Amino acid sequence: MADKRRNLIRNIVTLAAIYAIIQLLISFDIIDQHLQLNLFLLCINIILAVSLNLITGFTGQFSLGHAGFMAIGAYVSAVMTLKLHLPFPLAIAASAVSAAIVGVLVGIPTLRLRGDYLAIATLGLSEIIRIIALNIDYIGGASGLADIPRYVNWPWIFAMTAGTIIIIYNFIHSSYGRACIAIREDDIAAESMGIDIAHYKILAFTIGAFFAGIAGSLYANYFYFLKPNAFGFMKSIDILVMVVFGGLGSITGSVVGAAALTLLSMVLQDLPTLRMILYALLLLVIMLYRPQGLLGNAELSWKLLKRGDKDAAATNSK
Amino acid sequence: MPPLLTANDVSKNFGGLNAIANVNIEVHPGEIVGLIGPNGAGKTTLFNLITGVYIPSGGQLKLHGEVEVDLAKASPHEIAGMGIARTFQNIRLFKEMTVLDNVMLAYHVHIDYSLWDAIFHTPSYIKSESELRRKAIELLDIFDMANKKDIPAKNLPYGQQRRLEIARALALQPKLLLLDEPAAGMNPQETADLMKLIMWIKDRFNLTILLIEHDMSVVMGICQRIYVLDYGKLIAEGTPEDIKSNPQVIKAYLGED
Repeated sequence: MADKRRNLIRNIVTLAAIYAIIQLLISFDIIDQHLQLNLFLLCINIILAVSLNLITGFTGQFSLGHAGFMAIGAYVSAVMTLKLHLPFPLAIAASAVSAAIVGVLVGIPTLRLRGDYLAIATLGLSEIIRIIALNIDYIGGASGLADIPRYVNWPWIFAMTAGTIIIIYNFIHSSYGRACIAIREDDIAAESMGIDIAHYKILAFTIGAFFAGIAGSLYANYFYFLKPNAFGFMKSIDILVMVVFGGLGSITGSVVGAAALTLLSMVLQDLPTLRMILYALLLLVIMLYRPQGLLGNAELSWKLLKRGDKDAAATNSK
Repeated sequence: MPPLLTANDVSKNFGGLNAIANVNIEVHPGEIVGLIGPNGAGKTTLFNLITGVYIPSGGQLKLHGEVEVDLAKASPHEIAGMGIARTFQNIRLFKEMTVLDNVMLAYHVHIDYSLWDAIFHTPSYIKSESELRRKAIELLDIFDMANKKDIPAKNLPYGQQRRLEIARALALQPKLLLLDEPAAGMNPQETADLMKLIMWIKDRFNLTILLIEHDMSVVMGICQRIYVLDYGKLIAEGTPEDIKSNPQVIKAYLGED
Protein backbone atom coordinates (compact mmCIF):
# COMPACT_ATOMS: atom_id res chain seq x y z
CA MET A 1 0.00 0.00 0.00
CA ALA A 2 2.81 2.40 0.94
CA ASP A 3 4.46 1.44 -2.31
CA LYS A 4 1.33 2.36 -4.20
CA ARG A 5 1.11 5.74 -2.53
CA ARG A 6 4.77 6.44 -3.28
CA ASN A 7 4.25 5.56 -6.94
CA LEU A 8 1.19 7.76 -7.11
CA ILE A 9 3.17 10.71 -5.74
CA ARG A 10 6.01 9.97 -8.16
CA ASN A 11 3.56 9.89 -11.06
CA ILE A 12 2.00 13.19 -10.08
CA VAL A 13 5.39 14.83 -9.64
CA THR A 14 6.59 13.51 -13.01
CA LEU A 15 3.48 14.74 -14.79
CA ALA A 16 3.69 18.15 -13.14
CA ALA A 17 7.35 18.41 -14.07
CA ILE A 18 6.69 17.54 -17.72
CA TYR A 19 3.89 20.07 -17.81
CA ALA A 20 5.91 22.86 -16.18
CA ILE A 21 9.09 22.33 -18.18
CA ILE A 22 7.31 22.41 -21.52
CA GLN A 23 5.19 25.38 -20.44
CA LEU A 24 8.39 27.24 -19.56
CA LEU A 25 10.05 26.30 -22.83
CA ILE A 26 7.02 27.61 -24.68
CA SER A 27 6.95 30.86 -22.69
CA PHE A 28 10.63 31.51 -23.37
CA ASP A 29 10.09 30.67 -27.03
CA ILE A 30 12.65 27.87 -26.97
CA ILE A 31 9.85 25.72 -28.35
CA ASP A 32 8.96 27.95 -31.31
CA GLN A 33 5.79 27.86 -33.40
CA HIS A 34 7.12 25.13 -35.65
CA LEU A 35 8.21 22.87 -32.79
CA GLN A 36 5.01 23.57 -30.92
CA LEU A 37 2.94 22.50 -33.87
CA ASN A 38 4.79 19.20 -34.00
CA LEU A 39 4.58 18.76 -30.25
CA PHE A 40 0.82 19.21 -30.37
CA LEU A 41 0.54 16.86 -33.31
CA LEU A 42 2.59 14.35 -31.33
CA CYS A 43 0.21 14.56 -28.38
CA ILE A 44 -2.84 14.19 -30.63
CA ASN A 45 -1.21 11.13 -32.15
CA ILE A 46 -0.56 9.72 -28.68
CA ILE A 47 -4.27 10.06 -27.86
CA LEU A 48 -5.18 8.35 -31.13
CA ALA A 49 -2.65 5.54 -30.74
CA VAL A 50 -3.49 4.80 -27.10
CA SER A 51 -7.21 4.74 -27.81
CA LEU A 52 -6.80 2.52 -30.88
CA ASN A 53 -4.62 0.22 -28.82
CA LEU A 54 -7.54 -0.35 -26.45
CA ILE A 55 -9.62 -1.58 -29.40
CA THR A 56 -7.00 -3.42 -31.43
CA GLY A 57 -4.20 -4.25 -29.01
CA PHE A 58 -6.09 -5.11 -25.84
CA THR A 59 -9.51 -6.24 -27.03
CA GLY A 60 -8.14 -7.76 -30.24
CA GLN A 61 -10.60 -6.06 -32.60
CA PHE A 62 -8.69 -5.21 -35.76
CA SER A 63 -10.00 -1.73 -36.62
CA LEU A 64 -9.04 0.38 -39.62
CA GLY A 65 -11.59 3.08 -38.90
CA HIS A 66 -9.99 5.22 -36.24
CA ALA A 67 -9.63 8.25 -38.52
CA GLY A 68 -13.41 8.14 -38.96
CA PHE A 69 -14.01 8.62 -35.24
CA MET A 70 -11.45 11.40 -35.25
CA ALA A 71 -13.25 13.07 -38.17
CA ILE A 72 -16.54 13.04 -36.27
CA GLY A 73 -14.87 14.75 -33.30
CA ALA A 74 -13.10 17.29 -35.50
CA TYR A 75 -16.21 18.30 -37.44
CA VAL A 76 -18.50 18.43 -34.42
CA SER A 77 -16.01 20.63 -32.61
CA ALA A 78 -15.42 22.85 -35.64
CA VAL A 79 -19.10 23.38 -36.28
CA MET A 80 -19.84 24.12 -32.64
CA THR A 81 -17.07 26.66 -32.22
CA LEU A 82 -17.01 28.21 -35.70
CA LYS A 83 -20.66 28.17 -36.72
CA LEU A 84 -22.50 28.11 -33.42
CA HIS A 85 -19.96 30.11 -31.40
CA LEU A 86 -20.24 27.78 -28.46
CA PRO A 87 -17.51 27.57 -25.81
CA PHE A 88 -14.69 25.12 -26.49
CA PRO A 89 -15.14 22.95 -23.36
CA LEU A 90 -18.68 22.22 -24.51
CA ALA A 91 -17.46 21.50 -28.04
CA ILE A 92 -14.79 19.05 -26.95
CA ALA A 93 -17.28 17.22 -24.72
CA ALA A 94 -19.79 17.03 -27.55
CA SER A 95 -17.08 15.77 -29.94
CA ALA A 96 -16.12 12.98 -27.60
CA VAL A 97 -19.72 11.97 -26.95
CA SER A 98 -20.76 12.00 -30.62
CA ALA A 99 -17.71 9.96 -31.64
CA ALA A 100 -18.55 7.52 -28.83
CA ILE A 101 -22.13 7.21 -30.09
CA VAL A 102 -20.84 6.39 -33.56
CA GLY A 103 -18.49 3.92 -31.85
CA VAL A 104 -21.50 2.12 -30.37
CA LEU A 105 -23.23 2.13 -33.73
CA VAL A 106 -20.15 0.61 -35.39
CA GLY A 107 -19.70 -1.84 -32.57
CA ILE A 108 -23.14 -3.41 -32.84
CA PRO A 109 -23.30 -4.54 -36.49
CA THR A 110 -19.66 -5.58 -36.53
CA LEU A 111 -19.97 -7.85 -33.49
CA ARG A 112 -20.16 -10.98 -35.59
CA LEU A 113 -17.08 -10.04 -37.59
CA ARG A 114 -13.51 -10.70 -36.66
CA GLY A 115 -10.03 -10.24 -38.09
CA ASP A 116 -9.85 -9.12 -41.70
CA TYR A 117 -13.61 -8.87 -42.07
CA LEU A 118 -13.88 -6.47 -39.17
CA ALA A 119 -11.00 -4.43 -40.58
CA ILE A 120 -12.81 -4.09 -43.89
CA ALA A 121 -16.10 -3.16 -42.22
CA THR A 122 -14.48 -0.48 -40.04
CA LEU A 123 -12.53 0.82 -43.03
CA GLY A 124 -15.77 1.07 -44.96
CA LEU A 125 -17.39 2.95 -42.14
CA SER A 126 -14.65 5.55 -41.85
CA GLU A 127 -14.81 6.04 -45.63
CA ILE A 128 -18.56 6.58 -45.34
CA ILE A 129 -17.94 9.26 -42.71
CA ARG A 130 -15.34 10.93 -44.92
CA ILE A 131 -17.57 10.88 -47.99
CA ILE A 132 -20.54 12.22 -46.08
CA ALA A 133 -18.35 15.11 -44.90
CA LEU A 134 -17.22 15.59 -48.47
CA ASN A 135 -20.80 16.06 -49.62
CA ILE A 136 -22.26 18.34 -46.99
CA ASP A 137 -21.95 21.96 -48.08
CA TYR A 138 -22.67 23.26 -44.60
CA ILE A 139 -19.31 21.94 -43.44
CA GLY A 140 -17.47 23.05 -46.54
CA GLY A 141 -17.58 19.92 -48.68
CA ALA A 142 -14.26 19.01 -50.28
CA SER A 143 -12.63 22.36 -49.55
CA GLY A 144 -13.33 21.94 -45.84
CA LEU A 145 -13.68 24.47 -43.06
CA ALA A 146 -11.27 27.33 -42.49
CA ASP A 147 -10.78 29.90 -39.74
CA ILE A 148 -11.80 27.58 -36.95
CA PRO A 149 -11.03 29.42 -33.72
CA ARG A 150 -7.83 28.30 -32.06
CA TYR A 151 -8.65 27.43 -28.46
CA VAL A 152 -6.15 24.67 -27.97
CA ASN A 153 -3.06 25.55 -25.98
CA TRP A 154 -0.52 23.54 -24.04
CA PRO A 155 -2.67 23.12 -20.88
CA TRP A 156 -5.50 21.66 -22.99
CA ILE A 157 -3.27 19.32 -24.96
CA PHE A 158 -1.44 18.20 -21.86
CA ALA A 159 -4.58 17.59 -19.82
CA MET A 160 -6.26 15.61 -22.58
CA THR A 161 -3.20 13.51 -23.39
CA ALA A 162 -2.44 12.71 -19.75
CA GLY A 163 -6.13 12.09 -19.08
CA THR A 164 -6.42 9.64 -21.98
CA ILE A 165 -3.37 7.68 -20.91
CA ILE A 166 -4.43 7.54 -17.25
CA ILE A 167 -8.03 6.57 -17.93
CA ILE A 168 -7.19 3.88 -20.46
CA TYR A 169 -4.39 2.56 -18.26
CA ASN A 170 -6.76 2.36 -15.29
CA PHE A 171 -9.42 0.68 -17.39
CA ILE A 172 -6.98 -1.97 -18.62
CA HIS A 173 -5.83 -2.67 -15.08
CA SER A 174 -9.30 -3.41 -13.78
CA SER A 175 -11.63 -6.36 -14.04
CA TYR A 176 -13.24 -4.71 -17.07
CA GLY A 177 -9.87 -4.46 -18.80
CA ARG A 178 -9.10 -8.08 -17.97
CA ALA A 179 -12.40 -9.01 -19.60
CA CYS A 180 -11.33 -7.22 -22.80
CA ILE A 181 -7.92 -8.91 -22.82
CA ALA A 182 -9.56 -12.29 -22.19
CA ILE A 183 -11.74 -11.76 -25.28
CA ARG A 184 -8.59 -11.14 -27.30
CA GLU A 185 -6.93 -14.25 -25.90
CA ASP A 186 -9.81 -16.70 -26.31
CA ASP A 187 -13.36 -15.52 -26.79
CA ILE A 188 -14.94 -18.94 -26.24
CA ALA A 189 -13.19 -19.38 -22.91
CA ALA A 190 -14.03 -15.79 -21.94
CA GLU A 191 -17.69 -16.42 -22.61
CA SER A 192 -17.65 -19.60 -20.58
CA MET A 193 -16.17 -17.58 -17.70
CA GLY A 194 -19.21 -15.32 -17.71
CA ILE A 195 -17.88 -12.48 -19.87
CA ASP A 196 -20.54 -10.86 -22.06
CA ILE A 197 -18.40 -10.64 -25.19
CA ALA A 198 -20.73 -8.36 -27.14
CA HIS A 199 -20.92 -5.91 -24.26
CA TYR A 200 -17.16 -5.58 -23.90
CA LYS A 201 -16.44 -5.38 -27.60
CA ILE A 202 -18.88 -2.49 -27.86
CA LEU A 203 -17.47 -0.92 -24.70
CA ALA A 204 -13.95 -1.02 -26.16
CA PHE A 205 -15.15 0.59 -29.39
CA THR A 206 -17.05 3.22 -27.44
CA ILE A 207 -14.17 4.22 -25.18
CA GLY A 208 -11.71 4.14 -28.08
CA ALA A 209 -13.98 6.31 -30.23
CA PHE A 210 -14.59 8.70 -27.33
CA PHE A 211 -10.89 9.54 -27.11
CA ALA A 212 -10.47 9.64 -30.89
CA GLY A 213 -13.26 12.25 -30.83
CA ILE A 214 -11.26 14.29 -28.32
CA ALA A 215 -8.20 14.01 -30.55
CA GLY A 216 -10.28 15.25 -33.49
CA SER A 217 -11.58 18.20 -31.50
CA LEU A 218 -8.06 19.21 -30.43
CA TYR A 219 -6.93 18.90 -34.03
CA ALA A 220 -9.73 21.09 -35.38
CA ASN A 221 -9.32 23.82 -32.79
CA TYR A 222 -5.57 23.99 -33.12
CA PHE A 223 -4.94 23.82 -36.86
CA TYR A 224 -7.57 26.42 -37.93
CA PHE A 225 -8.36 24.31 -40.93
CA LEU A 226 -10.15 21.01 -41.65
CA LYS A 227 -10.80 19.03 -44.77
CA PRO A 228 -12.25 15.55 -45.24
CA ASN A 229 -9.16 14.17 -46.94
CA ALA A 230 -7.16 14.56 -43.74
CA PHE A 231 -9.23 11.67 -42.35
CA GLY A 232 -8.79 9.19 -45.15
CA PHE A 233 -7.64 5.60 -45.12
CA MET A 234 -3.99 6.64 -44.75
CA LYS A 235 -4.66 8.40 -41.46
CA SER A 236 -6.16 5.21 -40.00
CA ILE A 237 -3.16 3.28 -41.26
CA ASP A 238 -0.80 5.85 -39.72
CA ILE A 239 -2.41 5.37 -36.31
CA LEU A 240 -2.35 1.60 -36.66
CA VAL A 241 1.33 1.71 -37.58
CA MET A 242 2.11 3.67 -34.41
CA VAL A 243 0.31 1.06 -32.32
CA VAL A 244 1.97 -1.89 -34.02
CA PHE A 245 5.37 -0.18 -33.95
CA GLY A 246 5.16 0.42 -30.21
CA GLY A 247 3.65 -2.96 -29.40
CA LEU A 248 0.05 -4.16 -29.45
CA GLY A 249 -0.98 -4.43 -25.85
CA SER A 250 1.37 -1.85 -24.37
CA ILE A 251 0.22 1.68 -23.57
CA THR A 252 3.81 2.82 -23.11
CA GLY A 253 4.46 1.30 -26.52
CA SER A 254 1.73 3.38 -28.13
CA VAL A 255 3.14 6.54 -26.59
CA VAL A 256 6.62 5.65 -27.81
CA GLY A 257 5.30 4.62 -31.24
CA ALA A 258 3.31 7.81 -31.69
CA ALA A 259 6.26 9.94 -30.56
CA ALA A 260 8.82 8.12 -32.73
CA LEU A 261 6.78 8.22 -35.91
CA THR A 262 5.65 11.83 -35.45
CA LEU A 263 9.25 12.90 -34.90
CA LEU A 264 10.39 10.91 -37.92
CA SER A 265 7.81 12.67 -40.08
CA MET A 266 8.91 16.00 -38.67
CA VAL A 267 12.58 15.43 -39.38
CA LEU A 268 11.89 14.22 -42.90
CA GLN A 269 9.13 16.63 -43.86
CA ASP A 270 11.30 18.40 -46.42
CA LEU A 271 11.93 15.11 -48.17
CA PRO A 272 8.44 13.68 -48.65
CA THR A 273 9.49 10.88 -50.99
CA LEU A 274 12.34 9.74 -48.82
CA ARG A 275 10.03 9.93 -45.84
CA MET A 276 7.65 7.32 -47.19
CA ILE A 277 10.54 5.03 -48.10
CA LEU A 278 12.13 5.32 -44.67
CA TYR A 279 8.77 4.83 -43.02
CA ALA A 280 8.26 1.59 -44.95
CA LEU A 281 11.80 0.41 -44.27
CA LEU A 282 11.42 1.07 -40.56
CA LEU A 283 8.25 -0.98 -40.49
CA LEU A 284 9.89 -3.82 -42.38
CA VAL A 285 12.77 -3.92 -39.94
CA ILE A 286 10.41 -3.93 -36.96
CA MET A 287 8.24 -6.67 -38.43
CA LEU A 288 11.27 -8.82 -39.28
CA TYR A 289 13.26 -8.40 -36.09
CA ARG A 290 10.68 -7.49 -33.48
CA PRO A 291 7.24 -8.55 -34.65
CA GLN A 292 5.70 -7.90 -31.23
CA GLY A 293 6.62 -4.19 -31.52
CA LEU A 294 9.20 -2.20 -29.58
CA LEU A 295 7.75 -2.91 -26.15
CA GLY A 296 5.76 -6.08 -26.79
CA ASN A 297 3.18 -6.01 -24.03
CA ALA A 298 5.44 -4.59 -21.33
CA GLU A 299 4.69 -1.31 -19.58
CA LEU A 300 7.11 1.23 -18.22
CA SER A 301 6.83 1.40 -14.44
CA TRP A 302 8.83 2.56 -11.45
CA LYS A 303 9.52 -1.02 -10.50
CA LEU A 304 10.92 -1.72 -13.94
CA LEU A 305 13.17 1.35 -13.80
CA LYS A 306 14.55 0.25 -10.47
CA ARG A 307 15.37 -3.23 -11.64
CA GLY A 308 17.49 -1.78 -14.38
CA ASP A 309 17.50 -2.09 -18.10
CA LYS A 310 18.94 -5.58 -18.20
CA ASP A 311 15.99 -7.20 -16.43
CA ALA A 312 13.55 -5.08 -18.36
CA ALA A 313 14.95 -6.39 -21.61
CA ALA A 314 14.65 -9.93 -20.29
CA THR A 315 10.95 -9.55 -19.42
CA ASN A 316 10.24 -7.94 -22.75
CA SER A 317 11.70 -10.74 -24.80
CA LYS A 318 9.60 -13.39 -23.02
CA MET B 1 -33.04 -34.84 -3.33
CA PRO B 2 -34.20 -33.06 -6.52
CA PRO B 3 -31.73 -33.02 -9.41
CA LEU B 4 -29.52 -30.00 -10.13
CA LEU B 5 -29.35 -30.54 -13.87
CA THR B 6 -31.76 -32.42 -16.09
CA ALA B 7 -31.60 -33.22 -19.79
CA ASN B 8 -34.93 -34.37 -21.11
CA ASP B 9 -34.96 -35.99 -24.54
CA VAL B 10 -32.22 -33.62 -25.71
CA SER B 11 -31.14 -33.80 -29.35
CA LYS B 12 -28.68 -31.89 -31.48
CA ASN B 13 -28.41 -32.21 -35.24
CA PHE B 14 -25.72 -30.73 -37.43
CA GLY B 15 -27.29 -30.88 -40.87
CA GLY B 16 -28.14 -34.55 -41.29
CA LEU B 17 -25.88 -35.73 -38.48
CA ASN B 18 -27.46 -36.54 -35.13
CA ALA B 19 -24.65 -35.64 -32.76
CA ILE B 20 -26.95 -36.15 -29.77
CA ALA B 21 -30.23 -38.07 -30.02
CA ASN B 22 -32.88 -38.11 -27.30
CA VAL B 23 -30.53 -38.09 -24.36
CA ASN B 24 -31.88 -38.13 -20.80
CA ILE B 25 -29.56 -37.23 -17.97
CA GLU B 26 -29.98 -36.25 -14.32
CA VAL B 27 -27.24 -34.87 -12.12
CA HIS B 28 -27.95 -34.55 -8.40
CA PRO B 29 -26.30 -32.08 -6.04
CA GLY B 30 -23.03 -33.33 -4.61
CA GLU B 31 -22.56 -36.11 -7.14
CA ILE B 32 -19.59 -36.83 -9.36
CA VAL B 33 -21.07 -38.16 -12.58
CA GLY B 34 -19.00 -39.60 -15.40
CA LEU B 35 -19.76 -39.27 -19.09
CA ILE B 36 -17.92 -41.80 -21.24
CA GLY B 37 -18.06 -43.18 -24.74
CA PRO B 38 -15.90 -43.76 -27.82
CA ASN B 39 -14.52 -40.82 -29.81
CA GLY B 40 -17.24 -38.91 -31.59
CA ALA B 41 -19.97 -40.20 -29.29
CA GLY B 42 -21.21 -36.67 -28.57
CA LYS B 43 -19.80 -36.10 -25.09
CA THR B 44 -18.31 -32.68 -25.74
CA THR B 45 -21.39 -31.75 -27.78
CA LEU B 46 -23.46 -32.42 -24.66
CA PHE B 47 -21.14 -30.12 -22.67
CA ASN B 48 -21.54 -27.44 -25.33
CA LEU B 49 -25.31 -27.80 -25.08
CA ILE B 50 -25.26 -27.48 -21.30
CA THR B 51 -23.04 -24.39 -21.42
CA GLY B 52 -25.10 -22.72 -24.15
CA VAL B 53 -22.48 -22.83 -26.90
CA TYR B 54 -25.00 -24.84 -28.94
CA ILE B 55 -28.77 -24.60 -28.83
CA PRO B 56 -30.54 -27.98 -28.63
CA SER B 57 -32.49 -29.06 -31.72
CA GLY B 58 -35.01 -30.72 -29.44
CA GLY B 59 -35.75 -31.60 -25.83
CA GLN B 60 -35.21 -29.65 -22.64
CA LEU B 61 -32.14 -28.79 -20.64
CA LYS B 62 -32.77 -27.34 -17.22
CA LEU B 63 -30.74 -26.10 -14.32
CA HIS B 64 -32.63 -26.33 -11.03
CA GLY B 65 -31.12 -23.75 -8.74
CA GLU B 66 -33.15 -21.39 -6.58
CA VAL B 67 -35.18 -20.90 -9.74
CA GLU B 68 -35.54 -23.25 -12.65
CA VAL B 69 -33.67 -22.10 -15.75
CA ASP B 70 -34.13 -23.25 -19.33
CA LEU B 71 -30.54 -23.51 -20.54
CA ALA B 72 -31.62 -23.52 -24.18
CA LYS B 73 -32.73 -19.92 -23.80
CA ALA B 74 -29.63 -18.58 -22.03
CA SER B 75 -26.38 -17.43 -23.60
CA PRO B 76 -23.03 -18.92 -22.52
CA HIS B 77 -22.05 -15.99 -20.31
CA GLU B 78 -25.43 -16.01 -18.57
CA ILE B 79 -25.12 -19.73 -17.92
CA ALA B 80 -21.65 -19.17 -16.46
CA GLY B 81 -23.14 -16.51 -14.22
CA MET B 82 -25.80 -18.97 -13.03
CA GLY B 83 -23.09 -21.25 -11.70
CA ILE B 84 -22.03 -23.67 -14.43
CA ALA B 85 -18.27 -23.57 -15.04
CA ARG B 86 -16.31 -25.75 -17.41
CA THR B 87 -12.87 -26.72 -18.60
CA PHE B 88 -12.01 -27.57 -22.18
CA GLN B 89 -10.73 -30.71 -23.87
CA ASN B 90 -8.04 -28.74 -25.69
CA ILE B 91 -6.97 -26.34 -22.94
CA ARG B 92 -8.26 -22.82 -23.46
CA LEU B 93 -6.32 -20.60 -21.09
CA PHE B 94 -5.77 -16.89 -21.66
CA LYS B 95 -2.22 -17.61 -22.76
CA GLU B 96 -0.62 -14.18 -22.62
CA MET B 97 -2.25 -13.29 -19.31
CA THR B 98 -0.48 -14.18 -16.08
CA VAL B 99 -1.57 -17.17 -14.04
CA LEU B 100 -3.04 -14.79 -11.45
CA ASP B 101 -4.93 -12.75 -14.06
CA ASN B 102 -6.43 -15.93 -15.49
CA VAL B 103 -7.97 -16.66 -12.10
CA MET B 104 -8.87 -13.05 -11.31
CA LEU B 105 -10.70 -12.77 -14.65
CA ALA B 106 -13.05 -15.53 -13.59
CA TYR B 107 -14.16 -13.48 -10.58
CA HIS B 108 -15.48 -10.88 -13.01
CA VAL B 109 -19.13 -11.89 -12.65
CA HIS B 110 -18.82 -11.28 -8.90
CA ILE B 111 -17.07 -7.92 -8.90
CA ASP B 112 -18.82 -5.16 -6.99
CA TYR B 113 -17.20 -2.02 -8.36
CA SER B 114 -18.43 -0.04 -11.35
CA LEU B 115 -16.74 1.08 -14.54
CA TRP B 116 -16.31 4.55 -12.98
CA ASP B 117 -14.60 3.07 -9.95
CA ALA B 118 -12.26 1.24 -12.32
CA ILE B 119 -11.43 4.28 -14.43
CA PHE B 120 -10.77 6.57 -11.48
CA HIS B 121 -9.28 3.93 -9.16
CA THR B 122 -11.63 4.91 -6.34
CA PRO B 123 -11.27 3.45 -2.83
CA SER B 124 -13.98 0.90 -3.62
CA TYR B 125 -11.95 -0.27 -6.64
CA ILE B 126 -8.77 -0.52 -4.57
CA LYS B 127 -10.53 -2.38 -1.77
CA SER B 128 -12.30 -4.98 -3.88
CA GLU B 129 -9.38 -5.45 -6.24
CA SER B 130 -7.01 -6.27 -3.37
CA GLU B 131 -9.63 -8.54 -1.80
CA LEU B 132 -10.03 -10.29 -5.15
CA ARG B 133 -6.31 -10.66 -5.49
CA ARG B 134 -6.11 -12.25 -2.06
CA LYS B 135 -8.86 -14.74 -2.93
CA ALA B 136 -7.22 -15.60 -6.25
CA ILE B 137 -3.86 -16.25 -4.58
CA GLU B 138 -5.57 -18.37 -1.95
CA LEU B 139 -7.15 -20.44 -4.70
CA LEU B 140 -3.85 -20.78 -6.55
CA ASP B 141 -2.30 -21.92 -3.29
CA ILE B 142 -4.70 -24.89 -3.20
CA PHE B 143 -3.35 -25.84 -6.61
CA ASP B 144 0.29 -25.29 -5.55
CA MET B 145 0.68 -22.55 -8.11
CA ALA B 146 0.83 -19.40 -5.99
CA ASN B 147 4.56 -19.14 -6.62
CA LYS B 148 3.91 -19.06 -10.36
CA LYS B 149 1.27 -16.35 -10.25
CA ASP B 150 3.21 -13.78 -12.25
CA ILE B 151 4.25 -15.86 -15.23
CA PRO B 152 2.20 -16.01 -18.44
CA ALA B 153 -0.13 -19.00 -18.50
CA LYS B 154 1.41 -20.27 -21.74
CA ASN B 155 4.72 -20.85 -19.96
CA LEU B 156 3.27 -23.40 -17.53
CA PRO B 157 3.97 -27.08 -18.11
CA TYR B 158 1.08 -29.00 -19.63
CA GLY B 159 -0.16 -30.67 -16.46
CA GLN B 160 -0.25 -27.37 -14.61
CA GLN B 161 -2.11 -25.72 -17.46
CA ARG B 162 -4.85 -28.31 -16.97
CA ARG B 163 -4.88 -27.61 -13.24
CA LEU B 164 -4.96 -23.86 -13.81
CA GLU B 165 -8.02 -24.34 -16.00
CA ILE B 166 -9.75 -26.06 -13.09
CA ALA B 167 -8.65 -23.30 -10.71
CA ARG B 168 -10.02 -20.69 -13.09
CA ALA B 169 -13.34 -22.53 -13.32
CA LEU B 170 -13.53 -22.63 -9.51
CA ALA B 171 -12.99 -18.88 -9.27
CA LEU B 172 -16.37 -18.51 -10.95
CA GLN B 173 -17.76 -20.07 -7.74
CA PRO B 174 -19.91 -22.56 -9.63
CA LYS B 175 -22.51 -25.01 -8.38
CA LEU B 176 -21.89 -27.38 -11.27
CA LEU B 177 -18.43 -28.03 -12.66
CA LEU B 178 -18.00 -29.64 -16.08
CA LEU B 179 -14.59 -31.20 -16.66
CA ASP B 180 -13.73 -32.21 -20.22
CA GLU B 181 -11.01 -34.87 -20.08
CA PRO B 182 -9.13 -33.40 -17.14
CA ALA B 183 -6.59 -36.25 -17.12
CA ALA B 184 -5.81 -36.20 -20.83
CA GLY B 185 -2.08 -36.29 -21.45
CA MET B 186 -1.18 -36.74 -17.79
CA ASN B 187 1.18 -39.42 -16.50
CA PRO B 188 -0.09 -41.93 -13.87
CA GLN B 189 1.31 -39.92 -10.97
CA GLU B 190 -0.29 -36.68 -12.20
CA THR B 191 -3.55 -38.54 -12.78
CA ALA B 192 -3.56 -39.91 -9.24
CA ASP B 193 -2.92 -36.41 -7.86
CA LEU B 194 -5.69 -35.04 -10.04
CA MET B 195 -8.19 -37.59 -8.70
CA LYS B 196 -7.35 -36.61 -5.14
CA LEU B 197 -7.67 -32.96 -6.08
CA ILE B 198 -11.08 -33.40 -7.71
CA MET B 199 -12.43 -35.27 -4.67
CA TRP B 200 -11.01 -32.60 -2.38
CA ILE B 201 -12.35 -29.56 -4.22
CA LYS B 202 -15.76 -31.21 -4.53
CA ASP B 203 -16.08 -31.28 -0.73
CA ARG B 204 -14.28 -27.99 -0.12
CA PHE B 205 -16.38 -25.97 -2.58
CA ASN B 206 -19.62 -27.93 -2.28
CA LEU B 207 -19.58 -28.86 -5.93
CA THR B 208 -21.46 -31.12 -8.26
CA ILE B 209 -19.23 -32.47 -10.99
CA LEU B 210 -19.96 -33.87 -14.43
CA LEU B 211 -16.84 -35.17 -16.13
CA ILE B 212 -15.84 -36.59 -19.47
CA GLU B 213 -12.86 -38.90 -19.29
CA HIS B 214 -11.21 -41.62 -21.32
CA ASP B 215 -8.96 -42.75 -18.50
CA MET B 216 -11.05 -45.53 -16.92
CA SER B 217 -9.06 -45.49 -13.69
CA VAL B 218 -10.30 -41.94 -13.13
CA VAL B 219 -13.89 -42.63 -14.12
CA MET B 220 -14.16 -45.85 -12.11
CA GLY B 221 -12.21 -44.33 -9.22
CA ILE B 222 -14.16 -41.18 -8.48
CA CYS B 223 -17.56 -41.28 -10.23
CA GLN B 224 -20.63 -42.39 -8.34
CA ARG B 225 -22.64 -42.83 -11.50
CA ILE B 226 -21.72 -43.11 -15.16
CA TYR B 227 -23.55 -42.40 -18.40
CA VAL B 228 -22.32 -44.04 -21.60
CA LEU B 229 -22.85 -42.39 -24.97
CA ASP B 230 -22.34 -44.03 -28.35
CA TYR B 231 -23.17 -42.39 -31.67
CA GLY B 232 -25.13 -39.70 -29.84
CA LYS B 233 -27.34 -42.19 -27.99
CA LEU B 234 -27.32 -43.08 -24.34
CA ILE B 235 -26.55 -46.80 -24.25
CA ALA B 236 -26.09 -47.36 -20.53
CA GLU B 237 -26.15 -45.74 -17.13
CA GLY B 238 -25.34 -46.94 -13.67
CA THR B 239 -22.67 -47.36 -11.03
CA PRO B 240 -19.08 -48.10 -12.14
CA GLU B 241 -19.69 -51.82 -11.36
CA ASP B 242 -22.79 -51.95 -13.58
CA ILE B 243 -20.98 -50.23 -16.42
CA LYS B 244 -17.90 -52.45 -16.28
CA SER B 245 -19.99 -55.55 -16.87
CA ASN B 246 -22.55 -54.06 -19.24
CA PRO B 247 -22.36 -56.03 -22.52
CA GLN B 248 -23.51 -53.07 -24.64
CA VAL B 249 -20.73 -50.87 -23.28
CA ILE B 250 -18.15 -53.54 -23.95
CA LYS B 251 -19.52 -53.88 -27.46
CA ALA B 252 -19.33 -50.11 -28.06
CA TYR B 253 -15.74 -49.96 -26.92
CA LEU B 254 -14.36 -53.19 -28.34
CA GLY B 255 -16.67 -53.86 -31.28
CA GLU B 256 -18.45 -57.12 -32.08
CA ASP B 257 -16.92 -60.41 -33.13
